[in-house]
Amino acid sequence: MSLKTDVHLPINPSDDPLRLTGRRLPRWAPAASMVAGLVIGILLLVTGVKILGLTWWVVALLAFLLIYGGWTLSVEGRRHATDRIATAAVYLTAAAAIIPLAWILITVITKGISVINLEFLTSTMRNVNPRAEGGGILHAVVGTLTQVGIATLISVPIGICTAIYLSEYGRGRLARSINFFVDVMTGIPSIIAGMFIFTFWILTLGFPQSGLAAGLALSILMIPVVIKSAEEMLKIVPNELREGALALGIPKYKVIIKIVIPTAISGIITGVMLAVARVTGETAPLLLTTFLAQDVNWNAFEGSQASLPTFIWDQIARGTQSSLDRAWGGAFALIFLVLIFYSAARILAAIYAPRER
Amino acid sequence: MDAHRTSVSSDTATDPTVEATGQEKLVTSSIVSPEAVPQFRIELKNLDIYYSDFLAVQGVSLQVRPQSVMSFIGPSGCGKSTVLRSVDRMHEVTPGARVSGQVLLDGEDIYAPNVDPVLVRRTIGMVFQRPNPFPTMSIYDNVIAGLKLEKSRGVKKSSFDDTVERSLRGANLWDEVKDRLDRPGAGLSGGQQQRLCIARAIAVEPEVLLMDEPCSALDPISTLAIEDLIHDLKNQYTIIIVTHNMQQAARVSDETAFFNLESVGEPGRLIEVGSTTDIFSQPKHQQTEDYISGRFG
Amino acid sequence: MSAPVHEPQLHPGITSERSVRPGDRNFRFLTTGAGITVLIVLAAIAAFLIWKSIPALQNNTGSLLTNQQWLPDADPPSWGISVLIFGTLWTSILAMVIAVPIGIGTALFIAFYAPRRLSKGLGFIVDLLAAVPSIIFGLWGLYNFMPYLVPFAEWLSTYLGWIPIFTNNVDLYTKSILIAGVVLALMILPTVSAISREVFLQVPRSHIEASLALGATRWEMIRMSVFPFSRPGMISAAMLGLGRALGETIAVALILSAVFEINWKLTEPGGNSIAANIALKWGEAGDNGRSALIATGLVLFFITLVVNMTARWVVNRRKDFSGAN
Repeated sequence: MSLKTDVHLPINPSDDPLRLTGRRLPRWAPAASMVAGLVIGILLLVTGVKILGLTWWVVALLAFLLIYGGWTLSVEGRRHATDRIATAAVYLTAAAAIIPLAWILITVITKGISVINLEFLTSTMRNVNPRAEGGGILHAVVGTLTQVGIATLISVPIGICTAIYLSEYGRGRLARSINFFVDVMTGIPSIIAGMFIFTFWILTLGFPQSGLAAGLALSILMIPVVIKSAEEMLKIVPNELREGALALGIPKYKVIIKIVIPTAISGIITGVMLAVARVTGETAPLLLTTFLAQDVNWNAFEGSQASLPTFIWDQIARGTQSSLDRAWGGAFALIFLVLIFYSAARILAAIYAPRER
Repeated sequence: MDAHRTSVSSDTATDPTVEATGQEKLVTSSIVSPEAVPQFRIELKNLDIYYSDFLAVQGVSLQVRPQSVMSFIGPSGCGKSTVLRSVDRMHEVTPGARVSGQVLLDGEDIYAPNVDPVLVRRTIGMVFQRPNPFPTMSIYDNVIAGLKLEKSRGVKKSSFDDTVERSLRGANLWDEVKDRLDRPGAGLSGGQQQRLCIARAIAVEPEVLLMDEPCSALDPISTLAIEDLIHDLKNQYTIIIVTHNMQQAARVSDETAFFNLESVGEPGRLIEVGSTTDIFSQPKHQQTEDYISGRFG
Repeated sequence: MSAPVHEPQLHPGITSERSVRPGDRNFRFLTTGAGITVLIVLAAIAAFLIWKSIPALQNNTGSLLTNQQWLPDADPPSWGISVLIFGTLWTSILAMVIAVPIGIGTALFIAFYAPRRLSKGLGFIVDLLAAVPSIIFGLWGLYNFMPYLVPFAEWLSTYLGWIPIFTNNVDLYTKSILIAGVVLALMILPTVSAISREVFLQVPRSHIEASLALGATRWEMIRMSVFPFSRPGMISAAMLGLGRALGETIAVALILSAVFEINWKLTEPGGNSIAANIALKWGEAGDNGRSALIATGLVLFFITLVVNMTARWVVNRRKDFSGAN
């Protein structure tokens, strides 16, 4: 146990030349293992032999892992082998996340773009036989824009005002319960919002099914999202800003309106755009509130109104090849809308991000 | 790692067993000269340190003798911590960070192409400014954290016990914690946590110990305890310590290196290095004298 | 002789926090009102739906929990939620089992493996998956993805069929819970990944450097410094992903073949979740049918609520515990 005997004197490097390097795999080892795995896989593909019924590229992947793992284990030892296999696994999971996304986008774009043309964008499904070709999404686009617009008009004022309350005024039980229930609201399954509006607005209160009803259902889903993101943006505004203004004798409400909100506005706008992107793609609440329409309905207050998601749903249900084509066309339009909003919001957020981090 | 500790004989000219294994074709370490036992534990040769394209420190050359304590002093921002972190290859953990030049451990360049940073960091230990014991581990587990990496399964608990006691004694912490080894490491006071980190660092038996302002987050009493500890540790390890406290450098180190910046945006440079008494009583450069006498920094 | 005492004139309005300014009062009223409106809306939803579900609950001749039929509009009505709860949980848990490892792996990749310049872009791409509407997941899943999954399902039943959940007795592999589960997994993957990524990026540098300085490899550093610190966050991420999967309606409705029975076998067609059931049956439901559907919806809401609240609690409990962190 005595420390004095364990003296660490300098050593001659040639006594232990591997001291600092250990045994290392050559730099080309991962690539070589991948090639080896690929070769094995292609061999199987060409000869038609099946190992355990697995497809060739699965075997190639497994072969790569086994070769790489075994190689590094024998040369570098357990610790580095574990590290390398972990690295390979992490890369694989990242691929597993990105490949499906690319797949979906490519599918929608390639299948949809062949359907999209001026006629598709300007006609409706009125009098179009499901088996026939032709028809378009004009009514659906009009419907979606109307309904999402209504939802935004309702959600943004209520949402931002509530966020202001929670961030600037609320201390105490009311604020805490609002906070809690906003959290609850973010978890409402979308179909429940639809059920509520149908039974309450349409059945009980007797209003007709309409784009307005759909907008109401969507706003139930949108409000909590707007509140949460706006509240966060307001909280980021440094307190010194508020105090400085108050110290100048500016009344609180003016401080909020003229100073706090403008500082947070880009973040709030980003949050709203993200909420819009989310809600544009919602199908379930619309199914229950506006049902399906085949023609344009410019009146948001009366009568069923189409929308892009329900259009796609309807076309899938028809089951014919031309309906399916139309569904892909509608999907293309929908994803286009959603991704435009979403990407614009993210880019905006990146440009105007508060320099917090 | 045990073999080298006692062989210091001078006729280690050619060790036949090394050449016969045939594994050498994977190894390209830079061996200085088979005959010479290097007299410096750590040697920096013309070291330039970069953060991406920004040159933070330029042209540092110095030597550290074995079983001695060298302190790095200088005003904040002059790069002394950056230099320290490049000695155990922690600098490159920051994305984009790199060095050019050489850092020799017993004559071997730790930045040679085939060198494994993991082994470098095992051989050169580091203690940080803020004590950082692993919060979810007990004191016992903290001390052996580094050891468990190498030998995880199949090792008798008793051999770990010995190491734990040895390391905690070495860090002057054993008596205070011997009855509560299974308590969380984060539950100790600041000074105790730092000594725990030192115990953890010496448990893996490094050659060199680097300390990056180890006392700056501690109260004066803990600071003195750590300084006493450094006096004890000096007999077994080679120590480099960065400190912004000149009195500490004067108390603790055998040699001192003074770093400075020309102006903001310029790279830091090594201005002067020498024995501590010389640096503090008869500095050769005006900048050193100005810093020592408190005219800036 | 006493000097005249000047009493300080109190400037009106400074004495209390509640200003007498009408602007302030109105604004405060407005924002408070908005908050209260939200509360009222939520209360209205809960109260109204509970009220509307009562009739079906009352005149149900079958046992709510064990009945495996769905005949709320029949005479006499007979319906139960066991099949629906089973389907909801079975698909969602399968989705979670698939999504959590992939999500955590992706988050690790972005936080610790990818080059710094790429990590923001990669995060954006993974998050983009979250923006894809569920109807498109359903469309793609049904027509593009399923043909590729069916051979995999066949393989499972052939080679791993000795495990009961993988057996397939009908030689049909389409529209199964396995396929729905995989598509659901893709839908919740961005949630799990984004939350995990945030947690990983918050691991203090000092912990990471402590393990690296001891000579740990990258994976050892992750096991020693990152995972212990991030455990509550990862659990929360998994549960929030589960919550999302529970409420997912459209993709499941499109993919599953809506057979109303409890079937453990993953590769056989069939299965039903609460939300999908509502979507599919609402249009043709009568009054009692709708009432029953509302009842199931409330059960779903309750389950989702419990899961989400637990996820939040797990994270908050940890925050109080280690205040120093």
